[in-house]
Amino acid sequence: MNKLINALFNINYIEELARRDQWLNRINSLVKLLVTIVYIVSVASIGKYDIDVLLLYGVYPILVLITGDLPIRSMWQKMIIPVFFGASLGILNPFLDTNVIALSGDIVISAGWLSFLILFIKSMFSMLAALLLVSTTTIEEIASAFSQLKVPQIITIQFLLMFRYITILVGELDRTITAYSMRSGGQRSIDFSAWGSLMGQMFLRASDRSIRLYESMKLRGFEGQSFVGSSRKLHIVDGVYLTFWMSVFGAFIAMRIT
Amino acid sequence: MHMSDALITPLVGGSMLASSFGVIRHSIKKIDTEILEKRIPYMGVVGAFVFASQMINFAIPGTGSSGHIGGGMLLAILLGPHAGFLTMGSILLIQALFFADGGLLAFGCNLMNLGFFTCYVAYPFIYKPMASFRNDGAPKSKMKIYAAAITASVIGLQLGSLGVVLETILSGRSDLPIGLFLSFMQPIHLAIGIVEGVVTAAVVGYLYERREDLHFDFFKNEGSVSKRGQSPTRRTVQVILVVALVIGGFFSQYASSSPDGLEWSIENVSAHTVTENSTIANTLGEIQDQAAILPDYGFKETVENSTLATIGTSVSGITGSLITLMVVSLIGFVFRSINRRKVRKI
Repeated sequence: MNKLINALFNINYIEELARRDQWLNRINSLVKLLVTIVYIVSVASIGKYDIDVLLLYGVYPILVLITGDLPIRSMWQKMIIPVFFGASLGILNPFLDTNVIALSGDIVISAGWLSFLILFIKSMFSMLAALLLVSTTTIEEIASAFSQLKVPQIITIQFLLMFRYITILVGELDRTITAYSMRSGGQRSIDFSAWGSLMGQMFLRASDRSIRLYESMKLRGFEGQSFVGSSRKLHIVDGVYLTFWMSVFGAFIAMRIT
Repeated sequence: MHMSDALITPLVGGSMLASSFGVIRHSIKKIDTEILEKRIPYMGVVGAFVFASQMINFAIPGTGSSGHIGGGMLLAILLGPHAGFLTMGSILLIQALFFADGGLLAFGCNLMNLGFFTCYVAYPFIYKPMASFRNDGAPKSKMKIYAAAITASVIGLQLGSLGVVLETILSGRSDLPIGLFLSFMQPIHLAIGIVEGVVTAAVVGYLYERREDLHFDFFKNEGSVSKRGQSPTRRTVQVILVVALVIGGFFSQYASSSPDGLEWSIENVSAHTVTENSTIANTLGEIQDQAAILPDYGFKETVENSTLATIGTSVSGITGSLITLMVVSLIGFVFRSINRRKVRKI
């Protein structure tokens, strides 16, 4: 599967997951966004060698993944390559950090390997947290949460429009590349001679499309105002969800301090 | 070149977030409010175009390999620096959320590395003067566009990769020394920058030839400042800025009050385990040289020639964490099966 189709499949699949009627999907988007941000910041603040605390933070993605009835295998497949890339700058840690760390006196472990392992796990947890957010929250709800956080309107509208058009343009680009490939003996990379003309024509088509889009938006009464819908109202369950995770993260932080 | 959340500390991530929010605020202010409404769909579609273009492989002549573009410079040229920067922000956000490329905490770092240096440094200081714009905002010749696009892309990417190095070093998550890291990153991104520059030049040159009227439009209106007080987002961005700084500051203080890493470990060395003259230590050192994961067991004795450090982490602590995860997983699976049964009944 080529990169373009893979991206398209990925977006559609995540959107399908986000549109399911699950208890986790019904939680207020702002609450889920806040929990995700706090979680990612907490994970990032964990020390270079604090493996035991870091492992505890696995509670959040595991519990959300399982109770949210999300497909564990496909989530893992989506993450595995980015996780390696995310931790790639630590790949030389085992060779550069030549210290040794004693775990409770009996077992000794290479500090470099430990810090690399931690980088890998952190990378996995933070990426998983973002993926869990979009797998349980629709893009409109995320945009709505941004609006509630008073993110400038121009950004939320553009974010939504871009997301919608990515699926269209990626599909269009894939068809163009396939046509190019079929006329060039199966070549998937664009030859130097066609760099400007192929991409330039694609851009002109995209640009024309944006004019049509603007005109159709104007016909529907668009005057620059936000068309981000309102998110679900806050319910007791949202409060419980937020309190629960904040307490859990707070407890982890307290453990680290003590 | 995207940095992940794992590579940075909240202090670095928070500071860069605060900086990027400041630049976002500046960008919004600089885009004329009158043309903003018209530009939003254009920005969305062009952003989607650049996003899709990032996944296309361009065959590099004479090498048998291929590369892809980052698109920062292309966005700056097609949309102008302000709209280009904002659009790059949306692209990075979608990549972080849906493709696990980058991260939410690292969003500020990535936006500054990929968006700021291209849109606010390379574009105004390299591309525009080199392309020698006429009074109506149009470039003077195609060759000048080529030279300007390539040079600006290379410089933008070099600055971006320098940003990656500095942010990583400041975070201290990677043990790469700055010299080695720079010698690794900069030449690679020089090559990438040249490819990116040539692709950008080819696209912009093509557009210049085919539709000058459209091309010229990219350069009109930029820099026109909306009237002061018209922007409803000023206070909001200021609040976000302060919050980001507080978050960064709070977590950094917390991190420093419970120091992690080698320094903390070394502090404990003298109190616990490091002594001299041990053959085991020599063995350890040899194994360590080969970068073993678990050098050995049973080291209650003394150690030499290697820094044997203890951290707060204990085997029981790790085991406890793993057991907790297992228990939580079990609870989760029970919850999941109950939930599935309920759905089936409905």
